[in-house]
Amino acid sequence: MPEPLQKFDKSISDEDLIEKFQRGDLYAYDAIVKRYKDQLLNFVFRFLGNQEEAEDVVQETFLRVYRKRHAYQRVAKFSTWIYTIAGNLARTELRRRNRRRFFSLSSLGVEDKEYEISDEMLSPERHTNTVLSEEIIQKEINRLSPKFREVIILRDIQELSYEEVSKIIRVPIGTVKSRVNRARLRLQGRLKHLLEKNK
Amino acid sequence: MKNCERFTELLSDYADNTLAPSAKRELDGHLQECPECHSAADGVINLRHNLRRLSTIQTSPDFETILRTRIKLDRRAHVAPIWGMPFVFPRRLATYSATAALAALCFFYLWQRLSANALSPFPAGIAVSQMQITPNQILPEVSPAKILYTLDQVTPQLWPNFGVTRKGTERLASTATDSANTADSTPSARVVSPRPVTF
Repeated sequence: MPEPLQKFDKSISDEDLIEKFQRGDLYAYDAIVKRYKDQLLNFVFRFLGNQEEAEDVVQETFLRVYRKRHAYQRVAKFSTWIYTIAGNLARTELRRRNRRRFFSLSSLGVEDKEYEISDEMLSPERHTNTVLSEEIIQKEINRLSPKFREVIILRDIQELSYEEVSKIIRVPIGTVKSRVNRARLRLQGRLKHLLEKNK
Repeated sequence: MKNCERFTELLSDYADNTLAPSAKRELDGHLQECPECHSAADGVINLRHNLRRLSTIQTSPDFETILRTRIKLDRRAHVAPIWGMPFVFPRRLATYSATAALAALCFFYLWQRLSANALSPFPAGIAVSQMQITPNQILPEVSPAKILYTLDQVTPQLWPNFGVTRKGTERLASTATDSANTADSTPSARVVSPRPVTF
């Protein structure tokens, strides 16, 4: 007999929830969705730079979790598993987008336009400094290559441990550390003026 | 300069505060002497702080409703039978349909070829056409094509030319002689089959 959603408070681990879901408890699935939807959305949004696409990817992630629920085994952390699915889908979406851009001349420069900072945007009436800084930071994150972008989002924005990042992207922990270091140095070099202002 | 490169590799761990005490002491000493590395270290620490402070976005209010609908459709798609067979994915269905259509086309073409060859008294590869002729019409002798005539379409006077000795409506094959060799306009039709038609 499935338990109502209210019973799945934070004391229940993700692994227990997915186990319940594997046994057919749909309330457990709902609890997983509630727990992870915003986390995953932020991860994918920072990776793709577009909220609509990010939401589609997160939807697809949960759909995959639903379909492949029996593929999850308790040896791995559930968060690692779901982040791996979301990361793979986000990378696929990025490749698809690059292909679209390659074949469509009209879409050239669309991404740049999205984050272009016009004079109007600079006016304090319309945007606060924080919003502006975030736009600039996001733009610079998007300029990083996907392998650097992914690790810096997981490590510095999602605040996951190096070990978890290593498991999610399936590369050795040393490589993750080196990538994070290089990504940070690159970003700080490009955002030097902004960072000094925000000190 | 070589030292700077070595210390730059440690900056990330320095910002994460995961450096071994001895390495930290060494790096601190270098940072006091090298303004560039000092600025880079400051930048990385600042960047980390800024990335953690980035605002989070939330999924749209109808996120879960859309997800539930997608799951429902997905489940239905995997269960709904088509002609007693489990449903196949739309993309696969399109491939299967195209293959089936191609196979049917090939089969139809081969069947036509084989049946035409089986019925025709002429060697394979020679076009045989049927044409409507009116009674008393002069039979064309100039056409290089081999033509099938029904007896009721041929004037009785010409029946012997077709090897017919008795009345009947069976089909006979006739061929016109080569027009290039014959300037004679006398209506005639050469019998291909030397056997008389039996009824």
